[in-house]
Amino acid sequence: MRHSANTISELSGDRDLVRAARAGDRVAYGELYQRYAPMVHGVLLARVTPDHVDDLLQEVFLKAMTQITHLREDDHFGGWIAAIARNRAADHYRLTRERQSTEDFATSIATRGTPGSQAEARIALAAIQALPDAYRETLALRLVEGMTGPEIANRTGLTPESVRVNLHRGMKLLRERLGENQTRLVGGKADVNHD
Amino acid sequence: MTEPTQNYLWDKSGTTDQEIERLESLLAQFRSDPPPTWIHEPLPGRAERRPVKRLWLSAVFALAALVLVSVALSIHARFEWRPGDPWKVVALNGTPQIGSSLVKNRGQFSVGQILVTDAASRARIRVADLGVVDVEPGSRVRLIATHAKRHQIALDYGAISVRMWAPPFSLAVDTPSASLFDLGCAFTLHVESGGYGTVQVTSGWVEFETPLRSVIIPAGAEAVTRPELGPGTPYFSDDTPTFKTAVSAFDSHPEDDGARAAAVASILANAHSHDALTLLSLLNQLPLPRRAMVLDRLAAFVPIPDGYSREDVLNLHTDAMDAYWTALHLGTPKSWFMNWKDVLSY
Repeated sequence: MRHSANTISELSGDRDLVRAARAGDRVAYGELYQRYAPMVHGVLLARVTPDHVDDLLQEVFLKAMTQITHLREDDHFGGWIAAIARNRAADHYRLTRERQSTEDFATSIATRGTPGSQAEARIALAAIQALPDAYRETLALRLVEGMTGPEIANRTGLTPESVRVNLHRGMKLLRERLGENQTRLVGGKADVNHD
Repeated sequence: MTEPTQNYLWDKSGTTDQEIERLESLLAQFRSDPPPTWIHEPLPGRAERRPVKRLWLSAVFALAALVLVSVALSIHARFEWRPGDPWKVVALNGTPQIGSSLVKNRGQFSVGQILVTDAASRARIRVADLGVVDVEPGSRVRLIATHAKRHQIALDYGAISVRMWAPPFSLAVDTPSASLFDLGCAFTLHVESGGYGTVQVTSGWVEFETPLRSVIIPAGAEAVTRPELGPGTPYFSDDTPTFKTAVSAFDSHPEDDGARAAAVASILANAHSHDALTLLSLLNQLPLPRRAMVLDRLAAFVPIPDGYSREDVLNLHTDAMDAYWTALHLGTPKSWFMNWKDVLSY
């Protein structure tokens, strides 16, 4: 119930903030940024390498700022800016071809000798990025950004039911993938040791 | 029925899922917490704008864009001529003649035709859409070629006054002893029946050229071209008759060292600061041993450009000579575009 109350309050607040931001209120836009930056960060992180996320985050909010007059429904800011972030990430990928396959990413990390927990974190992130669109974004928001299911629904504009399904199915798939990677990586190391 | 660990995944309530908790801990290093500060200039506030003012601004911008597009299209059209199309001719005085036809009022001038003015007639030829040639009395002009961006006429004798509003080398004028190219300019060209020609430049630059020699004449200056000798040394129109005579003597006796030495001595003795143009041109025409005294006089008016030595200039190094030419501050051939008012007079 607490989440619901917050949601109603925030929706109303978002609407006012969007109206104020559209009228040129920089403070209001700064507040929108504070509220939505983690969500946009997660949407981007589900698609591009961490090194590029902060720059893209700024670009997304800059673009949103210049186009906020085109936002028709004031209480749909979250879904709208999430769409901008997805498009920006897709453009970035097309331009840089930076995304590697999960196997390539994980293997390169392991063979570079990255310290243990850092390597594990990157492998886990790569595994999330390799999931289908709906799952990777929701899981990035949940596991990386630390948002709860209701918060994800609130920020992205998805229905709570969709978020719940995406979380559970995505987590199941992630466990399987991480298990496979763990086996493959251990096997790879063993081969190297034999040499 | 929902499992307790599924609640943890949903809203972090219920029994903690160890694997999820470990992933959360691992992946926290990528989290944006707290988010970077948003720093930006104030938004262009819609509420602060006045709708009426915006409407006016939009209208002004639209009008400006329309004008720019129209000007661009107009300029493009001016510079693209359909090859072979005839030029327009207007009789300014008397009855000029094109071929066997008399031009009583207006006429057309086609490639291969000859326009002749008698002692009482004058004609104005429109050079594609780029400029005008006024044909003075007692002249003969031939239209040799019209291409998309290059046009060529010949002045066999007589005089023409030309004003072009076009990029350099849009118009070439053949004379019996040299070809002339406009470099975005206005000039008057006289050709005597013996083949001597004189060009006086009033705007921009003109180039006089033969296969062996090329001379650039800037606004305010003039030069003579002679049969078999080609273009001579440029000098300013307001120079003294003594100075002009000395320049003419120098140009007329290319094989007579004694006459040339005397002419150079007279030029140097009568030179003033704005004669640096003539002195620089002389350097190019004298043998090395005789360049030094010309350079001394030239350097007294316009110092040798920074970065170059006396030897560089004496040896006529290309960069040094270009720098010296620039140091004379004679403008540039591209200044044609600045004479945009000319376009209104065509």
